[in-house]
Amino acid sequence: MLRQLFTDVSLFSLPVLATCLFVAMFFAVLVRVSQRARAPEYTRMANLPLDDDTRSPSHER
Amino acid sequence: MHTASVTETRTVVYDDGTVRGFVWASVGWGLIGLLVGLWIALQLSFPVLNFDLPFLTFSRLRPLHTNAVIFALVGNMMFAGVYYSTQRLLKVRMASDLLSKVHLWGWQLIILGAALTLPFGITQSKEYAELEWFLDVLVALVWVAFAVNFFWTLAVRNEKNLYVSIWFYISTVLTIAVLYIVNNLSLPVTMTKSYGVFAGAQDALTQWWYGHNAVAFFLTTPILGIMYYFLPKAADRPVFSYRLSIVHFWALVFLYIWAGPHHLLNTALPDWSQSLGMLFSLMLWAPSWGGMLNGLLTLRGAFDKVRRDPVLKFFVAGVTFYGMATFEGPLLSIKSVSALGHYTDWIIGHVHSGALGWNGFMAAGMFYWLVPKLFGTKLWSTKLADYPFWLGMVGILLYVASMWVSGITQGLQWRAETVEGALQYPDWNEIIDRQQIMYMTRSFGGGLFVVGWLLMAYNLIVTAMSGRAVTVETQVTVTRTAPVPGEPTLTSILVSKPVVVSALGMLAATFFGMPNVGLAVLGLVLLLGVVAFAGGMLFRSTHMGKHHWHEMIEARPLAFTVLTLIAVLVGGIYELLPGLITDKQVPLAQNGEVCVKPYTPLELTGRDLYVREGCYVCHSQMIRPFRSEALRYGAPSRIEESMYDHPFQWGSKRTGPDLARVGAKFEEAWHWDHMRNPRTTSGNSIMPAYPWLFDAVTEPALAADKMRVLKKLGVPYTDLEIQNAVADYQAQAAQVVAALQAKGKTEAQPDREIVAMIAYLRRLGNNLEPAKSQAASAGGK
Repeated sequence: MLRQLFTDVSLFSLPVLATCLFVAMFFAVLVRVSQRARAPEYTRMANLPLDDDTRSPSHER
Repeated sequence: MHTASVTETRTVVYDDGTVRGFVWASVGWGLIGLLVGLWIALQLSFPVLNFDLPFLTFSRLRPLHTNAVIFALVGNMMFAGVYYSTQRLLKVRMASDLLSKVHLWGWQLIILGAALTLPFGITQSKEYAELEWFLDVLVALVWVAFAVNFFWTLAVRNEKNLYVSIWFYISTVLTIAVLYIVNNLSLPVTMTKSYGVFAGAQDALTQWWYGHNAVAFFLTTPILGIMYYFLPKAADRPVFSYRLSIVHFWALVFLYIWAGPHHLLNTALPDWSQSLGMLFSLMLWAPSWGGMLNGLLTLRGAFDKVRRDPVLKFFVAGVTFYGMATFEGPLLSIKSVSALGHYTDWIIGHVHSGALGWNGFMAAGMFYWLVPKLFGTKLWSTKLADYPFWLGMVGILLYVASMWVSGITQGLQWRAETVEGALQYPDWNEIIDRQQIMYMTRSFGGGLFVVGWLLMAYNLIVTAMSGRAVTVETQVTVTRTAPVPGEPTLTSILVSKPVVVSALGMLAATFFGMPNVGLAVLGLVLLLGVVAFAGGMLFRSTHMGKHHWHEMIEARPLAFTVLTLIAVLVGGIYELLPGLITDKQVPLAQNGEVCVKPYTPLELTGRDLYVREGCYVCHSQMIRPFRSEALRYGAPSRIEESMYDHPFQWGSKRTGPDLARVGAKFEEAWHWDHMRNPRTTSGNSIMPAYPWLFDAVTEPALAADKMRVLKKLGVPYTDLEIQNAVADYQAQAAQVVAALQAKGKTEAQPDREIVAMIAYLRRLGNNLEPAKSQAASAGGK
């Protein structure tokens, strides 16, 4: 049965399958991480660039 | 978990002087790099614009243009962004003012060194790695200063967690160091000449592992870090999805490093390596677009600002160009598409949509945001900032579209055949003639971009003059958490579930890549299992609120750095190691004689002149296994033909035809005339003339020193050959001169550079017996 499987399967289909798998996985992750309901988990980190504006500039010569 | 913590307030004074230095360096050097680009673009329409001067010639200035744009324009811009954002994200001043100064001024010294060496032919002739050994040493030292300063700053930071921008900077600092050092390993012959340790296919693989990842880790990852910091600042809203940025980062740094061989598709490189490069390039689509979407969607609900704010306008266009370039890159990495597009102007268009659109526009956006802040004032003219945007946009579109048309036309004409099976366009100049309108359009588009850059520089300078350099002092709240027993250590992080699962995934992928169907199927099944497990783990952990693993490593720079290094090194090791440990075997002819022999002293001298002049920027030495290429150039190149080539000269562009088998095609006298004035032998050729080769005198004694160094690198010169180098040189030079004089070139003298160059060109294609027999039948010119 294995012999039959190996004989019938095209070698080219394996990398194509792996690539499809990768892309499917990536988009699944993309959808998951984009869910707005879960955004608060990283709110502090995401706001880090916006928190550095409290400053008192002085002028150099 | 119970943790004891102490909160305190500290005063931090940021070092923005270094940032200002890098900004002006980028604007100034960038202008020079762009002007050189425009100048050489015009030379492709008007070859006389080199004025027969070596240091103004296309082949010598093109490396200056690429190095200036990459390392001066983008490099300085990147350092400005890194220094500014790192200090604010870590809430601490850079650890060492001295190292910051060493970095700033050392980098400018390197660029000055490049400007004073490349036009004078002091080059390694490897793309984006042209700088000779003494400058490479300086690059390494300055980069180490930067790395020490950067990681030292991480160590003394006042913010526990590292923001996404810092991750991208870490990957850049680490990877560029590895790439640059490995690709530039060489042995010096003189103060200005060295030979790289790799040769032929090994050199090609190492070079494009470096070349591709210079794009990845110099032109992309740091700019993504800048995007993740400056875009939210300019839009005044946090990044669209912080979690997407986690996926974006790890997927990108892991996948990018594998894709180098897509620069060598359909060459003599082993097929497995080409396929690996193609597959990983295709996979890069996903994280690249994930990052682009994350950037653009940060503006959700605020797209109206884009109309008014020049900063956002540049950022949005820049990120969009990133998306376009990262769509086109994988597309061009498909073998059949590469067969059409490689060596053509299409690649030039692709590169410039990234360099001008992504890097140039991101630089402009950052400068317009940064300079007013650095000088405590407002942008002098918002309206004037609009002109560079539209000039740049129209300029890039004209540039890219003209190169697409030109490149695809070239590719189709190169392969076109008549019904009888002969080449439809055997005359190279007929093909080049058709590109001229596109070359003019390209120059015009590039010119518009340069004008835009000039206007930007003016606006920034007037803005700076209207304010004064600002020193920012700020109060930061620091929460120091006392060490708690049982906290994860570096070791426990390295053996944690996500890392182990990733390692298993790589192992499964290794099985999958084995040349055995059984192992491949086993690998695929394992891979499916790992993906399913990882997916389940991800969903379960987020569902249960256990999302702390990444936060945990974000708070540990050492663990983060080690994991990043592993993610980056895996691809490099998989790609390079098999090629480097393979035994070199010298092919034998049917009669048992060695086919591939090292260059003679005269040929070696000529080859180094070929390298000095930068001929590789317009001529490849790699015939691909296509019928049309066999018809035009001769038999396909074989991997062993270049096994003694330090450096390899396969090239990446065919503005002129391939030269791999040019040796048997033309006699000495033809080369003599052609090099003096290409128009006398090749109609309306756009190749520059090289009259200085007819006057300059060679040093035959140097050939022995070169052979001695090459012998150390594995080229099988005997002691006797090295000892007799000068005599052999003179004997072969006399033969070349005799052949020239027989054709009426009575002024030929054996000690002139042109004689050595001709000897090398005549040697090309004569490394293998099959090459000898088939090259003679090659058509075209």
